[in-house]
Amino acid sequence: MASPAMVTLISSDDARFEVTEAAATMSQTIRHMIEDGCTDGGIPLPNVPARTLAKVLEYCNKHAAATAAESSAAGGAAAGSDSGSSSSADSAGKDDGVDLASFDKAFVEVDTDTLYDLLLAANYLDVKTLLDLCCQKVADMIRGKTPEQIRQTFGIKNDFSPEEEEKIRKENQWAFE
Amino acid sequence: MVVMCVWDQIQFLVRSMEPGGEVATKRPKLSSDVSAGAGSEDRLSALPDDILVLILRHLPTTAAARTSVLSHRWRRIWTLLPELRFPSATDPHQIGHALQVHEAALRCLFVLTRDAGPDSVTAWLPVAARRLSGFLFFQNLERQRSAQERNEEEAAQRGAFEFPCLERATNVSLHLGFLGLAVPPAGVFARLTELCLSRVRFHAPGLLGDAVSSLRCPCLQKLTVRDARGLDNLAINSDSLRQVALSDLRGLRQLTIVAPALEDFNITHSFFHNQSQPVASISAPQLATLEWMDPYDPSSVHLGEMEHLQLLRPFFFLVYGHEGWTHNQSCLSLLRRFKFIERLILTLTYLRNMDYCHYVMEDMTMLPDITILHLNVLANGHAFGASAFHVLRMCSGIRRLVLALFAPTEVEAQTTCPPGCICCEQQNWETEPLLLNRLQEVEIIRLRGSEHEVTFVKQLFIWATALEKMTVTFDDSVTESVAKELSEVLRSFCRPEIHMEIHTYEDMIKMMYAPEDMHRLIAMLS
Repeated sequence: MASPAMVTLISSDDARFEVTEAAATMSQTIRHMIEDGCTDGGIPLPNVPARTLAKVLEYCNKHAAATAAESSAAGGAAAGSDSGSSSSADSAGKDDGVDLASFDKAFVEVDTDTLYDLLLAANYLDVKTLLDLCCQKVADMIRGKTPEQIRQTFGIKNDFSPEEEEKIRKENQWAFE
Repeated sequence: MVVMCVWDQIQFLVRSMEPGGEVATKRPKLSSDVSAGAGSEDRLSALPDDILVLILRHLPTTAAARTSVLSHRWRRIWTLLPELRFPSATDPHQIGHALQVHEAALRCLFVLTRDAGPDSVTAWLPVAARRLSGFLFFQNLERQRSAQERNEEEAAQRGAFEFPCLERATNVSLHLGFLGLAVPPAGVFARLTELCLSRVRFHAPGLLGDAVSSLRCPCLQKLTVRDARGLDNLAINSDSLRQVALSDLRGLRQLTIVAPALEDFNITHSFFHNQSQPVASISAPQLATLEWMDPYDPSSVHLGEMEHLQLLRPFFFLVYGHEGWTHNQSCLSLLRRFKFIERLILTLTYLRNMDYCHYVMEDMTMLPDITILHLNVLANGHAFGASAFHVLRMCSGIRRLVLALFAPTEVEAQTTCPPGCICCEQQNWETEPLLLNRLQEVEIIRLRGSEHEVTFVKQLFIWATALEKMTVTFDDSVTESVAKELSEVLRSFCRPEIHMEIHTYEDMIKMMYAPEDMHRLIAMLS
């Protein structure tokens, strides 16, 4: 098999990252840059610092590799199996799914600052699944908490007067019942 | 069938609740450095609106709306949500209130209520009609299934709400628990492409057929009406409709459809309830699928040219009947109407109690020329080999066979019929020759492993001399140890050149429902 196409990404603090095109193009922003032929001498990403970019690429590498493994496994299963059972191919696929899910779960077990950096980077780079994953993580941190607990968790300052807060509660009474 | 209906709904829900799409593409890219703001206390509130909205989309609407009290920054974030989902505990008047506070384009509205009356629907639906530009899913849950009939009576007395004209809605799905619905007599549903109405009691003044025809529903492609009352005459004239499914329209007397683009049409148990002559006229020259699971009488049901028909499903056939029963004529007449059909779905039914009945399978003397046969058998514990054999003998050129062994829902009915039952008299088929030498693929669904079933499958292997693939899915009642034993038996019938796959019922469910969809669905409903 030929070695995969590589691209160079340059972070806001001038660090260079060599990655496979498959991993890089999980970012729609980078995909468009490659399609437009803006790859000579590396792709500059002036909005993403090296520390965050490294983390994003860890995610993209893992998911791109899993996608590649999945499609080759599917191809193999279609070509090969003639015996009575297709369970071996099935279970391999399932393991990958479980593996990826636990990778994702561990991936967002980070401090909130890193999580915000990832959110912004995923948004800028347009990596939809990563953006979704990070949003889900923040949503999980909100879920089941009272407004005061949410404020404490995220350091949100309550800038309402008690009267104002009461008024808003009334306005959205249905949500507090 | 039941599973698929539920799946349709789930698909609809999942699709309608899917995050992404417009928000993602419209989002402006950030120009500031993403590391900016590091070290400040509240970086969450500093995130752009669209990311905060994306976060709130992962929460139930009530939890999202509660963030309004966090701070000024958060007060209006939830009102930018493109989807709102109100669980059944919400006071319907508050839904109307929330819709008025909400600011963004409303692309999806999901409302659950319990035993709602017409007044409570009027509290929110007209507001929604003005705001909504996408999906509306409304389900009014009934109190108890067992008290259904009484509820219907009550619901009838509660009157009806007027269905507002949803000018910008694209998909509307209403499950009303027999709440009365008055179709608006005027107004255009300009963007509506899919409409599903179930458990509805139709009230005057408007006519449903009028409202869903081209003049007032110019984009409607898919219409589903299930479990309806008060719809005695349905006349649709539509240039855009591609799919129509009607089931349990109790009281339906006359049906007229003129739909040049219609591809799929299904009518189930509608004229059937009336016990009267079905009166219908269907003009659908592009029709590819016709499922007429209802009485059919060629003297009063006019089916126009259907040159492109690929799939036909007639009403079920009773293998044992009484003298004078006309039920089977629906199936037989429809089979005679078509010469060539690629795929035929035929349902053979055995009554549980067949006293005083006799074998009437011989009444079926011909089938259209078909390539694929999907044979449903509701055997009710009886020996079904003779009737299935009778069918196969009339279509020995088929290339593919799907045999679905339906089980009645009651547990007791899964036992075999009493000794000496009339069904055992038909046994000649086992020794009669049959050659299905074009049959390449057989799929058997919901095999339970009864003696009748195993005998039939064994014969299938003998008849199908060119068989390449056999797929068997066990019924959900088959335990693991029985499945193992049964697999051994099935493999002993198999020849080396045949690829055989055996699945449990659970496998099949897993294949049908991708786990991520189920998780999303569960999360959404929680």
